[in-house]
Amino acid sequence: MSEREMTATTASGDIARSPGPLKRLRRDNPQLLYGSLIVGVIVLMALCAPLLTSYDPTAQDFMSTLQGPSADHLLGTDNLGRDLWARLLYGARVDLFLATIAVVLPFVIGSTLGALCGYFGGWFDTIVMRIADIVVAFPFYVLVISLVFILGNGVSSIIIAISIVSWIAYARIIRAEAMVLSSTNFMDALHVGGLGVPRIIFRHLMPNVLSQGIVYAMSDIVANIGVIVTLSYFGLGIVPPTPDWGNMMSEGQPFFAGGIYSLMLIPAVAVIVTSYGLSMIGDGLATALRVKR
Amino acid sequence: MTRNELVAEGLSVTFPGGMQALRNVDIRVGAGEIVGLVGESGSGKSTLGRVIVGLQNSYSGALRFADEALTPRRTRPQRCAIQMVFQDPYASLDPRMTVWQLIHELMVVHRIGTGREDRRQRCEDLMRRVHLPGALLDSRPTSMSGGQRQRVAIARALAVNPRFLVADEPTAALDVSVQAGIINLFADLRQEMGLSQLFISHNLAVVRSLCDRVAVIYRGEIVEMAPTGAIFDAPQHDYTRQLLAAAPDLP
Repeated sequence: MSEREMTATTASGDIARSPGPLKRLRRDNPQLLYGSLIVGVIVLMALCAPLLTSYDPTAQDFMSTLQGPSADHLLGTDNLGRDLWARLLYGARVDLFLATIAVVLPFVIGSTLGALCGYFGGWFDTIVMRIADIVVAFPFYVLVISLVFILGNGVSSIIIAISIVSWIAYARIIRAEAMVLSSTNFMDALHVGGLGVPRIIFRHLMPNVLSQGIVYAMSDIVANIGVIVTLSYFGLGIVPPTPDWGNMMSEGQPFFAGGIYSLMLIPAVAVIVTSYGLSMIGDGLATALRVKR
Repeated sequence: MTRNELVAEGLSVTFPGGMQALRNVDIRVGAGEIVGLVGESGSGKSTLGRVIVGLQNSYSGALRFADEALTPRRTRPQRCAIQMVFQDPYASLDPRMTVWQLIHELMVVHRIGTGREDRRQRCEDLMRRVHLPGALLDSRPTSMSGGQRQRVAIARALAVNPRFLVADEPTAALDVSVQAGIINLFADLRQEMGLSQLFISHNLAVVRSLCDRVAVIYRGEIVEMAPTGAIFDAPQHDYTRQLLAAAPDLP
């Protein structure tokens, strides 16, 4: 009897929920909305860079170096007379693209390994987790910098270096979630149903544990931007003249002491705003993806 | 005496670490019979259920189903023939899938039914069988009550046309008010489909109303097995008497 009543109330609850999807998002999950807005605007600006500036980010103009903001140069120019607005936009392309790619690979590898570890346990789990321990035992930047040093500067080295280190976080998160799920009747019910192991892992286990990994991926993009910018700042990442927020900062550094703050501050603010937006998306996703039981 | 559906002889399970969960257990369930398995927590009753259904594959002893030996590597028909309903319907159903998806998946994997239409029809029949409105097929278990979820879990178990059902404390996680409905459903399944069942419970009142025979398990051993009336009226073993004395009197 009480079951019937439950059905009736949930049905009427669905009808009563009337406000539009955007309003609902603003009420239920403002972080996701505003985070997406911030990041969306930045991504759009990076994608539409050629439309938003007519300057070539690498074109030097020695007649107008170190200028302040003007109608010609929205954010002014650097010591080589390059337009800062153009460099900021094209730098966003490089950094955001790299940071995102450098999340996809570790995410796929890490969460698959984590799910397999959580599901199978035993020697497979032991081996993978010990490898993870060994990699983690090295200080992160020392490892990444030495890897980039060995592999050489450039995009692919950065991706490989970050991937070697950051799959571990995903593997550990997903493994823990998978183990929790394995200890309930969830897995038993699938086994008794006679479903195959690949189907159980990829169709049931992973979709139910991935949300934590996705949330972490957002903060991982933030971390990657930090890593890429740091590497570039030290001259180990994106090589000049390709614009990148990191090498913009490192090139602006000598002028910081001389009182010209904008060369360093502009890319720094870009890093901060982007990271803030991504973190908000991460928090918002954590709320949105929480699996209801 | 009915034909034997499930026979276990000399089942023993030792967990890594030396804990003996089952010691030399013999149990027999006839066709269309409901056998209750009672004992305190940790007595090994769930382990016995898991061995029978094929979730616990390291055991010694012999297991026979419908006059065929069951080995740890079961055939597909053997897997389907023995299904299980779990204690916690909040955990045992994938929260991301609708009821239709949950059941449809099993039908596809086991090649039951021909085409989408036929499977939809079968799903609706299953919903009727467990007394759920067919409209719930397209909703997720997460939006349902515990009793409804357990009915979905039972429908899912029935989807592969089992002949034997292991019910592991199927009402323990439910409100008292819906327990009776679920218990009646198990009785109906036997009545309508001749489904043999091993009903694991520590609720003696439930066992008394549902089961034909009762096995009492204590520290991994079956200490007494007799028709339900005999167990409750004239318990032979000390432990059975303790168990009966410890149970609260229910009206």
